[in-house]
Amino acid sequence: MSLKDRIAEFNAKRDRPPEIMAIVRRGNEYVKESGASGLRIGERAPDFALPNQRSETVRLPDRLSKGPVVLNFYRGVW
Amino acid sequence: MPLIRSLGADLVAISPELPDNTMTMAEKHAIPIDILSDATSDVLKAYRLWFAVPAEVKALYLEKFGINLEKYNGAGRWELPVPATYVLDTSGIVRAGQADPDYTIRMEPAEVIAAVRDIVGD
Repeated sequence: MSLKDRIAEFNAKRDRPPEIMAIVRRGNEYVKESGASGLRIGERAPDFALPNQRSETVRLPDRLSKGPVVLNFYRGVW
Repeated sequence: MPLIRSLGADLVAISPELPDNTMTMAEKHAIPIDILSDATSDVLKAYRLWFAVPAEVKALYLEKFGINLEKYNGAGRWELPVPATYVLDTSGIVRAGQADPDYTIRMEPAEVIAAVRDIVGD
């Protein structure tokens, strides 16, 4: 099963009330209009150096020197 | 994820959350990928993924979901990234990716793997 199908199944089970979904949808529209659209294909990803869960600094250029990198931006553990 | 690794690629996750103090060192070492903390949101902004949570959504999180983002992100930080995935080649060029404010729309793992295969010539 694709991730898309699994998410659809989860959403169907969760069955949030329409008034809550309306707020979520308006929020998503607001974010789209704010211009937070991310990087484009073919663009160079900005370098960064950030601490990981063990307080070690991870530098993007170091990782790229070893191979391709899959970056995932997520909202949080909640 | 093991497949991405076996193709020679690395997987890195980034969130605006402060480093997690609830995990033990052993637990932190058991996590097989790097989970990075962008405590200033500078990286989220550089990737054009940053947004301030709208007031209406903030109220929904607090009152209906019982989620206070300040508990995770720090005082005054009602801000989040647009959920996104990018596959970078070794020059740091975005070869595939997806970003959508609708957090229920994510890049298919199969597409990520296909992009990595394309880069490594597998």
